[in-house]
Parts: sequence; structure tokens; C-alpha cells
Amino acid sequence: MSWALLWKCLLILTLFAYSILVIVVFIGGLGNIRDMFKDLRESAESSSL
Amino acid sequence: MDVFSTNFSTIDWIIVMIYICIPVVIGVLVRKYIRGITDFILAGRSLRLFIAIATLTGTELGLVTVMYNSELGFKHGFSAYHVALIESICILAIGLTGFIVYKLRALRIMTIPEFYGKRFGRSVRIIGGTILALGGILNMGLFLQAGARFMMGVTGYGNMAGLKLFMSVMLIMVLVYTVLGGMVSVVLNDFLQFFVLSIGMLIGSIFVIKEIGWSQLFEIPATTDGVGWFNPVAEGSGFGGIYVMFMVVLSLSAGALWQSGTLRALSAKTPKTAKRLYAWSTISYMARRAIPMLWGIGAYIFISKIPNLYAAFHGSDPLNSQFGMPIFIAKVLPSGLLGLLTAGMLAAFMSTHDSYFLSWSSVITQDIIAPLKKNRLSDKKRLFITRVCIVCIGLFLLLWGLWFEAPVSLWNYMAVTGTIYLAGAFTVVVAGLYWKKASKTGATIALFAGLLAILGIGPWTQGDFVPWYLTDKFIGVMTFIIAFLGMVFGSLLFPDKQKIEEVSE
Repeated sequence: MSWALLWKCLLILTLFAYSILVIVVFIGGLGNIRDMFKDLRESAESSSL
Repeated sequence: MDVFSTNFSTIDWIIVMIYICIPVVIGVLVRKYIRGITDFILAGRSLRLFIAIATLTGTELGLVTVMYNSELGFKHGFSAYHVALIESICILAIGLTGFIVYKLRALRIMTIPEFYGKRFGRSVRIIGGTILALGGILNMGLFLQAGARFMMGVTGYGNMAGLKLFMSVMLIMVLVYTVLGGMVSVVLNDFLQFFVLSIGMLIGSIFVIKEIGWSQLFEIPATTDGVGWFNPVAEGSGFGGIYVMFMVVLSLSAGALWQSGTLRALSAKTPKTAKRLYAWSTISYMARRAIPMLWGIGAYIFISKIPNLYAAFHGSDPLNSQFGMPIFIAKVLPSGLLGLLTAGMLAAFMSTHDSYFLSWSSVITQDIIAPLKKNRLSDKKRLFITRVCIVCIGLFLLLWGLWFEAPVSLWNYMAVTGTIYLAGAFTVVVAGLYWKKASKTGATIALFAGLLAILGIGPWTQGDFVPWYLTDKFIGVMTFIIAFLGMVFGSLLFPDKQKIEEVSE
């Protein structure tokens, strides 16, 4: 396989995979942020007891 | 065509100004959640997978990352892609095996030197913490300059002093929200910046490919010498076999142990989440290299076709190659998108700074100041010291960033200053986790050996006819080898008399 073809495949793979990742992380991340605040609130409440 | 002509207009300035105020507001709002040092440094160890991916990417995809990778693409063409490939493979290997990060997360430590302390004792922790802070803070040294060059290229504003002032104001804004909100603030900002910057980068790439043409992108420009444009080990590529070797050890060690990145693994909810975080992040690590390099390559092809632009970079008083990408996108992207992308880049500039501030200040507090104190420091005092350290590092950067000019390219400067810490840290952590005979003396020798990497940014590395043994890449590889040998021979010749503490999961 030539170097040019290797880098071409890598570029296509990167653009495609990264587009998918951005969508998945955005949707999943919103849920994660909600959970993180839930954890922090619980920890703050238990430490103040 | 004027070198600094740009599509950047008033609407773009408005987008930028509004956007960069958001992080400060977030910092103020989340302040109430910060109860102690663990909340401040590790967001209470509450990070789940997707937010951890976003924040790791937000940290590792900064403006400076975009600048040094586009510079590599601009100077070396597609042969620079070997760095992206090597780094992605290393991150994937860490993610699949859990190499280093799984065990470190299981130990519930906050910083890498804390591990040195558990395994090799207090003095190694202090030495390791000092070297980590030194390498890490020096590593940030050129961020301000790179940011100012990006802004100058994109906006066409030619007053470098004015731009440095603008970047300094931004740095102060980062200081404010990091000091207030700690890791919780950093995580939320990283998430926002991950999304905005990623969208901007993907759309920007479409414009770049459209401007150059897909087939022409893979043709060797007439102004370069052929083979080196694609082949990283070919003569004329500017890399070579030693450089590739350096990238392998650097990528593996930085992937597992660069404090700002590892902090995300240590903040993960469970060791398994830390491992999965790396496996998923393979994609974003590849993107943070490949996409800016694509822009740099596009910039080179673009300017090579316009005589006065080409002359500006290759004449008697050439422009710094870091200007290539921003000057190119300023001409190719339409107003509005240019503003959004610039806002994303400045946000990335801020997100890298906030994480680095948090990383190095927490190391100074936890691993240098606290172990030196005879009495245990309270959480409140640690929090205060960490915040003071953040401000001090910010002030240092303002001075260093304004006055220091590196003799090597931006990426090579980053690689060399990173090696100061990584050569020792990689050897010490790997041996500490996986080799029972590793001793305190071996660890100390390995850590000090990392300081040899400073030789890689000396004036002797510059010029057209530098002997191979004085090149920054050779010095980098040798630093890793010497650190490794120091650990092995130091441990075998001077074993520990007493076992310090068992490392358990």
C-alpha cells in the first residue's frame, strides 16, 4: 500500500468517526452532567449533616 | 493577494466577544458545589464516560494543539500524519489494555507524584512533583505566542503587542473561572468547547477540501521535493527513523501520564470507566492531529499557487510557519463561520489553560508543599494554596509568553519540554506498577535523567547542518533510554532496604 493511500484512508476514517463521536458524546454528555450534579449535591448534603 | 487579507468582520468579533464570556459565568455559577480539595481537583470523582471523553478532548484539543499540528502539516505535508497514527495506536492500546491508567485510578490518587510517594517514599514524591511542575509549566510557555499568531493571521490585525494584550486578558479570564469553579467549572466548559470546536473543525474541513479539491489534496506540490511529502522516513521529509521512534515513546508515555489528561482518568467514576475513556478517545486523539494537519497541508498548497503569498513564507525575511494555517482559513472560510471557529479556538485556548493550571497547581500543592509540611494541611488550606498557585503560574506565563522565543518549532518545543517530565515519569510509574524490584534510588535517577531533555531546546539544535547527535529528536530518545537504564541499574545496585508500601488495586 502506498503512503498516499494510507493517509487518504486515515483522513476519511477520522472525519467520519469524529462526526459520529461528536453526536454520541453530546447526547450522552448531557445525561452525564445531570448525574454529576446529582452526585455533587448528595455529597454536599451528606458533608453538611 | 494581500498576505493578511481576511473575511473576518465585525459580526465575527461580536460572536467571539459573547462566546468567551460564557466560561466565566459558568465558573461563578458552579462555585457553590466546591466543598473540598477532591471536588476542586477531581470534581468529586464523579465523571461518567461521555462527559469524561468531552473533557479529555477539550483539554487535549487546544488552540496550541491546532497550531502545532497545522504547522507540522504546513512544513512536512502528509508525512506529518505518522504522528497522528502513532498517537492513536498508543491511545487505543492504553484503552484496550488499561495499561497504567486502570491501576492508577484503582489506587484513588489525585496526581502522578502521589503514586511516587506511595511506592517510593516522600522524597521521590517531592522530586517528581517539582520536575513535573517544571516541565509542565515550561510546556505552556509558548501558548500565548501561538494564540496571538493565530489571532493575527485570522483577523488580519497586525499589531503583535495589541494581540498579546488581548491574549493576556483572556488568560486572566481563565484564571478567574478556574480559581472559582475548579474541576466542575473546567468540565462544563470543556463540554461546551468540545461541541462548538468540533462542529467548527468538521465544517471548516469541508471548506478546506472544497477549496483545494479532493484529488489535488493528494498531489505533491511542485514547490516541495517529492517523496518526503508522504513518506515520514524518507530523506527530505524532515522527520526520519529517530523521530518516529521518539514519537512512539513520547505518545505512549504522554497518553498514559500527561497530568492534565491523566487527571480525567483519575476523575472517572470507576477504573473501568477510565479504561473505556481511553478506548473511545482514540478517535478524538486522531482528529486533534489529522484535522489541523489537513488545514496546514491545505494552507501550503494554497499559498504555493500564489506567488506573493509563497514569497512571504520563503523570502529573505520569512513569516513564521505558524501563520500558514490562520492566514489560509481567513481567506477560505466565510464571515460568521470564521467568527464561530475563532470563538471555538479561543475557547479551546481557555480550556487547555484551565486544565493545565489545575494540573500543575494541584501538583505543587499536593506533592511539593503538603509533603514538606510537618503538620497535615487542612482541606481549606490546600484549596487556598492551589488557588494561589494558579494565579502565580498565570503571572509567570504572562512574562515567559511575552519574552521567550523558542529556537525550535512549536511542536518540537512541546515535545522536548514534555519529555523533561515524561521520560522519568513513564519509567518510574511503569516500573513502580509492574516491577517488584524497582527501588527508590532507581526512581530518583530516572526522574533526574528526564532533565537532560532540556538540552533539546538549546541553540545547538538550530541551523542547517546540525550533527545527528545534537538534534532535538535524538536528545529526546536518549533521555528516555537513559531514564530507563537509570531505573534498572539504580534498582539492581541499590535495592530498597525496607518495603515502603505495597501497591494494591
